[in-house]
Amino acid sequence: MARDREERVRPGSTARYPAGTVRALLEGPHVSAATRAVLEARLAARTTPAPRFFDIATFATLSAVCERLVPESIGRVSVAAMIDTRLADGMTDGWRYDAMPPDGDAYRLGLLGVDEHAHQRFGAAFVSLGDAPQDAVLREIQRTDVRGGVWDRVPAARFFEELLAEAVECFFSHPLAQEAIGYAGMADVPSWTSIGLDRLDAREPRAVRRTRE
Amino acid sequence: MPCGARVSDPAERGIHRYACNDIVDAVVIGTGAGGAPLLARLAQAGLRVVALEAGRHWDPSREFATDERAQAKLFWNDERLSAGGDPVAFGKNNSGTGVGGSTLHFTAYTPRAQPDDFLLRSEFGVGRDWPLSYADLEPYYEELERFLGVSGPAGYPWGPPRRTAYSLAPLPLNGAAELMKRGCAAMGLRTSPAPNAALSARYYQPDVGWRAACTNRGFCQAGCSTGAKASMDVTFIPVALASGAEVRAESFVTGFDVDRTGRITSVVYQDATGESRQRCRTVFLCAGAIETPRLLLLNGMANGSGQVGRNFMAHTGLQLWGRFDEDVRPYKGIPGALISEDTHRPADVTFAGGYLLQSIGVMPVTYASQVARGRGLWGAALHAHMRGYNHTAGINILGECLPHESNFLELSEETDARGLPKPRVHFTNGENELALTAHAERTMRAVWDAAGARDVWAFPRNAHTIGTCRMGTDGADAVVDADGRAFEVPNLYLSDNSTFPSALSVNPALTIMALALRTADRFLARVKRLEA
Repeated sequence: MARDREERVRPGSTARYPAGTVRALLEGPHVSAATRAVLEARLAARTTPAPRFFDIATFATLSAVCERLVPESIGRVSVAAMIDTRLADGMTDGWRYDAMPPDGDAYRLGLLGVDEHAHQRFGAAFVSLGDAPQDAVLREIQRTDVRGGVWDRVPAARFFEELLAEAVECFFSHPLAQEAIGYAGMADVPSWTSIGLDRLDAREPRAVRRTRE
Repeated sequence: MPCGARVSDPAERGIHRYACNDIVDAVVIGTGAGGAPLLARLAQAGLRVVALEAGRHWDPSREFATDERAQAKLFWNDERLSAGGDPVAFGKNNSGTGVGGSTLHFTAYTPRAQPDDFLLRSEFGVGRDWPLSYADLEPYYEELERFLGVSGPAGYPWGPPRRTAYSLAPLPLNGAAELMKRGCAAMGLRTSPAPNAALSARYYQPDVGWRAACTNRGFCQAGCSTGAKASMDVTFIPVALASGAEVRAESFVTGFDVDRTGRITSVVYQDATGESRQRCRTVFLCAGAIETPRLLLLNGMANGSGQVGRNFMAHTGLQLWGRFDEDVRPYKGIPGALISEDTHRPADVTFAGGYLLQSIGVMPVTYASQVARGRGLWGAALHAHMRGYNHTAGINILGECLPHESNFLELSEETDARGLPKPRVHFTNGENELALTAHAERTMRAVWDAAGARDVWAFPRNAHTIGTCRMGTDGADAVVDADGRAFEVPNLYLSDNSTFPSALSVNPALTIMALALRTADRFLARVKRLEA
């Protein structure tokens, strides 16, 4: 199979993969029916106008936070909406830190804490801050460099870790986010035949250029 | 309708073989690595057996997508509370639901334990010895490797000489495996293609038929859609059904009826119709090291020793990730293709036990989640890191974890949707785990450096749920004997990772299955003896 020596991406650089590869795979013979159904549904998903779990203001804060955590667009659905849906449906992932309140309460409290800290540091609500102060607020929560209000009751670093992990899992479960990193595992039929290092099957995307970080 | 909603054999949906008023010979609770082999063995011996499984009976070819988010349905997603200094992740990290249990998402890695794994206390003066030996399990390891169709090397470099060869040639090495082979060779560490319970060629089993060869889809940890991986639903469950066993899916056990002599007379469970009971002569509880002690604690059973829920262990499972020049494509090939057990008992160390090394592939959502939790990357830095996904490869350890008094499971005051207390699990790595992990990290970093890795980072974790109902020779400090029989309830057996007295320096699945077959044989021999 093809070896794209010229296109090989060096460590310290970031690969770029062509757009449209997932759509092409979905229209070809290499995606099983079960996988296709899931991916087509996710690609077609749209963010509903109103949140179901959060109130409008809290949802706006969550949306702003997620845009800083995973700042690229994935189709017509937002990470914040995926989190809202999960909480509205009462789904969990099998565990939580004992030090944290139940997921829904943790989100509501933590997002209140985000706003409290935004006011404390910059005198305004999180949503009305620019990118840099928003990032500063989030970084300080991640480092537990916060005190007072909510953060006397909720461990800041744990809240941030849980929020970040869920945002990232939502984001990278989207086919377009997977396409951007050159993932082609959804092309699950028939067998992969080129398994080893530097060996690609014809249906795998090649990096198109490399960009120094 | 006698009881319960449905039989889960897809060919016989809606039919109950046994009525709830029938007194069946055995009820098996859970259909994972601890329950399914035993269910098949008892059914083949002609016993009337019913398995109760909390999850669904899936049709993998139709219902399993190659998509991590969609496949979260295979994990035990009822919430558990993780406490202690190193709270253990549950859900996708260890526990499964559905006919097949956790084998639906296990990595298929099936090394045998070594003889000294069962003699930890004798060798090191810490932890516990097992009340049985390698020789007791060896015939079962051999039977399982043949029955499951384990793919592995022609000669296995570690442990005692083998009397039998692996059924099939090894699966192909993927990128991570080639890199680990290169790095270990430079370090003078021996490696071998790993034994994996996934088929490198199609394979025939009586009562199952032909199973197809692995398609190298790399998706073991989120469900095999082709039947190449030897999860219980495509191996022991078909055998059990063919021999007359009944499997009731979506049946969640909550309790037992017990007579005045302390014997269980029926198992109480919830299904779509509400609460049901199945009368029975014997119960095999095989729900795993969290749900098994939880059920016993809920019902105040088998706990005169006070050991139910104690000594929770989780293997040290440090993962080391690196970035390579080469195209790795970590989504292809059996995830754990290469093994080294040269560190099973490292020389010149102060800790007890040891660890094995395993190369690992990884799916994107799992990797991204680890990057988030382990490195805390977000924003532009996260995206830049993730664009290197295709050049990422990992090594994983599977290391000894000692039983500690302070690591245990208890019932919390918080209830779940069924109104039952959620389990709270306390876990903190002790000095032994920390010293072992530090040794392993130095070894792994040296291997990855030698293989050409950059941007190397470690993700500390603990994996598998072990202990909580340990076996032993004395009912004063153990819950079950070496046969898995509860000291205090004469017709209750446990068969799962809860009975492990020590964690073993290998992945537990094959040993859980071996113990299950042994427990079934010991039970059948006992019945025969009593009848004679």
